[in-house]
Amino acid sequence: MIPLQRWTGIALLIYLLLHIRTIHTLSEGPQAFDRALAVFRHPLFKLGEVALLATVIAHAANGLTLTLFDLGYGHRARRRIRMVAAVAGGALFLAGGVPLFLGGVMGR
Amino acid sequence: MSTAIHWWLQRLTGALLLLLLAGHFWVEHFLTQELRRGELSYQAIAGRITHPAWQAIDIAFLIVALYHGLAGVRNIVLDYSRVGPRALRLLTWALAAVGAMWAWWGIEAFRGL
Amino acid sequence: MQRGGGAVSYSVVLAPRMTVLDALFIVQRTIDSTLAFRCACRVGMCGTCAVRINGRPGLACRTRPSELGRPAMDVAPLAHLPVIRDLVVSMEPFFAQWKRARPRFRPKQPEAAATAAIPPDSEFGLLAAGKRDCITCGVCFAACGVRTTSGEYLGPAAVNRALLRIADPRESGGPERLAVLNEERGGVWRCHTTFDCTEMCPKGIDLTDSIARLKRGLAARGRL
Repeated sequence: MIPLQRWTGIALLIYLLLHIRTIHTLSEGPQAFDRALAVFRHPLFKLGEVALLATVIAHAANGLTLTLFDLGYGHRARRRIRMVAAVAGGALFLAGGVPLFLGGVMGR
Repeated sequence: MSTAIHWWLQRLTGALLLLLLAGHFWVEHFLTQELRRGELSYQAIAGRITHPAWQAIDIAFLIVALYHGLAGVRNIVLDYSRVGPRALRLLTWALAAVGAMWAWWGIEAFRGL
Repeated sequence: MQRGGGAVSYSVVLAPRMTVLDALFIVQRTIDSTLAFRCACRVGMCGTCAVRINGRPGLACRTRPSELGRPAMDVAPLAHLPVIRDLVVSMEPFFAQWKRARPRFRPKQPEAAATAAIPPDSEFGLLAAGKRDCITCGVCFAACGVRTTSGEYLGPAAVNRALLRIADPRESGGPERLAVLNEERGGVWRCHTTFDCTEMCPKGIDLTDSIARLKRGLAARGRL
């Protein structure tokens, strides 16, 4: 579980830094922003968006259970709590990821 | 007790990010039809990003996320004992500099709107 | 089995209730008398025979090969500790951290005629009940994912011992121990709450709970 939190965290930070760089083009006006956005029209970025959602959910579900345990709750039921977090995370990913992907790639 | 404060903040910002990120994803990726179609443009989000309340939320979001992410990097480095105290101090300043720079870039994006 | 940097295979016939330690003795007596391993009590109370069995640290005398679910098993020396020979490791890094946590009892009244009694149903009595059985076998130290990368982290056993000392109403020492526990790189903050130590502790101590209590105690400066 340490590697999971570590690598998803690093990936999300890199994404955040790049994301802010893109948004920063707003300071050069709407045209510059639209030029920067043109890159993301490639369908591959739809896959990236779905991957981003998965990474966020994995990091959040794991982080939430860790915080719960750190605060002293659920130590005895930890296996069940982890299972619930994984299932809820998976369901959330399907509920969010499928419409994202279908709306983006298939719905063109 | 500075370490304890960072420990609390990491958990607090984590919980905050959960709420902010859920809202961000919902508004940007599901309600914004242009983004869903992969045709995002300035025009599609102009109404929101010129609104002061949205700008305040987005800037707060950015600062919370930067803190959580950069403090997380520092935590990863602390897990490796091969990094000496001097290198760690240098890293802390470097991470703070990255945080300040990106926070500024985020804020600057809204200034001309 | 992991011996001298390489893997060696031995075939032995075991009765159903025999332990990994029994298997090691059979190998030593009938196949290779040079095999080195450690043990003392053979009943899970001394903490001497800890080894890695199929990748998981545990006591050789408390693990039955028949309960591992497959006919072959891999026995290796404990992780995170230097190997002396075959399955024998040096416990030096473990006890170096143990000493750092100031494990000794320092009474408030060293001259008192009798030690103050701790009622089992008192706050400390209840806390200590599940935490005082540590036999310093090093299983938690070997199981700890933080020790994989950090040579400075105290490890679960030392933190658990420090908690027992801090929570003890008869104990006088405090600030130095708290300072060690509060260290950024060696203290409790490094714990990732993965429960690997708790799950593998042969005495069933919830070590993760001990570490988390200290995190909250240090963070709130309140009750442990």
